[in-house]
Amino acid sequence: MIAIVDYDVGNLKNVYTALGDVGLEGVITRDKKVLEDAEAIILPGVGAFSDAMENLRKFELIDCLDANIKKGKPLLGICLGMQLLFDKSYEDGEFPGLSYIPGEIVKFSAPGIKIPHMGWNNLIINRDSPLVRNIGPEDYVYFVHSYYAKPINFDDVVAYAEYSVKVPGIVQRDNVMGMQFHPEKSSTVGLQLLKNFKEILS
Amino acid sequence: MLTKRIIPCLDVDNGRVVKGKKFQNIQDVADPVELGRYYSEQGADELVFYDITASYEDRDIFITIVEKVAEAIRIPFTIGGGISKVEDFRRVLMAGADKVSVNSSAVKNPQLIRDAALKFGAQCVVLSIDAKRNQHGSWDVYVKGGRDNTGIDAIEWAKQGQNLGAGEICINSIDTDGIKQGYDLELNRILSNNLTIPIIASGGAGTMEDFATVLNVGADAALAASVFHYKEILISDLKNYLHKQSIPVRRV
Repeated sequence: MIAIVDYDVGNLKNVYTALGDVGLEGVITRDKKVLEDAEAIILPGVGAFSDAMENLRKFELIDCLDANIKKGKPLLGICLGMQLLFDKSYEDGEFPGLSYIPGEIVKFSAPGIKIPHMGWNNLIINRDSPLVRNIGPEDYVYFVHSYYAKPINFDDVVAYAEYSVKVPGIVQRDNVMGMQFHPEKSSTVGLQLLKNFKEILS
Repeated sequence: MLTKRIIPCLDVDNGRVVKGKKFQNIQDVADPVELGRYYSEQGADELVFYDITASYEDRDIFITIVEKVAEAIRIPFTIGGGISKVEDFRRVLMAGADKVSVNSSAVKNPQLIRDAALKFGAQCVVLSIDAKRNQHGSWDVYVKGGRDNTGIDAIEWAKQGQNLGAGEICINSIDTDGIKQGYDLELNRILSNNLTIPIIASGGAGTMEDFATVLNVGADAALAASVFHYKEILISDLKNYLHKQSIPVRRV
């Protein structure tokens, strides 16, 4: 069973449905006991960084996440959920994150580019990981975000997309993983990535 | 590389997809879920569903369709039509939509854009503008399905929408809509030069070349309905054509 963390950050049903496509049973929950029992945790999320962290605090989920990470339980952050894995974000101020991966979240700033980075972009593999099995340079995933992750060690980046800078698309540090794009909205490529995530669990 | 998007638009009335020319002569086409799935398999990058239902009771039928679409397809989709409150945003987002498009209601109450962007994030707020050329060489914003001229300058309204927090602008040219003689290139060029958020061009697609031309003047995405519904252009063919024209697209 995969716990999809419910902390009031938008619709989680699409993540749940896509997990079902690859044969994973998701449970949308904020019950710490369920998170404890889950074989993996998915941290989804859309909206503002500070609101999301505030909600994690409000529902007293941070200690529970920390403890599960320490135990080695796989965690997958999606979109804003991936950004929360880093040390801090500069979205509308300066806010601390979960600090599972060293680095910060900054705004796109190159002149002449459209913001948000919205649409289908291809993944360029930075290093080998079971997460990108069967993923090639012509595989596109759906991004929509105005801020991006700047990890301290670029080796934490499994795959990135080019959009004025190298935009981390998939990050991984041991059992902590993140996808900046929406695998649940990325058609067959997204499902392949979720399948790869499933393989990691078994 | 970020690709240009091709977006079929499905007008839904009473549970069925319809397509009217110039907002009139509405013709029945197909089941929205089936058509959505078909386009998704063909390589559509996103879908837009407009609820053109007049009566309030039929809104519930539409929400059920939104839920079914979210179950059936794995590409992003936008919902528009009949959205006038933050609560309407919440309802369709919770039903599984990724973005919500506002038109007349945002003209009436621009604060709606800001409120929705703050609550759900700018990425899900699409400001849809119906624009018509006036005799001064600029464009006026029309509301109520293209019937009423507000006298508001369309370029200025788009800029204001961006400042209020819209994540994207869908610009529909009333002059070119349904005529199949190409998009309004000047309008799309000016908007693209003046905005930092993505632009979706709408209204006028007749040939594959029309798509290439509007994407080359700066539009980030091109929306069309009838050329797809009547299979005059297949999305897979269109993607191959655009690729040959060196326009970055995602091919499936």
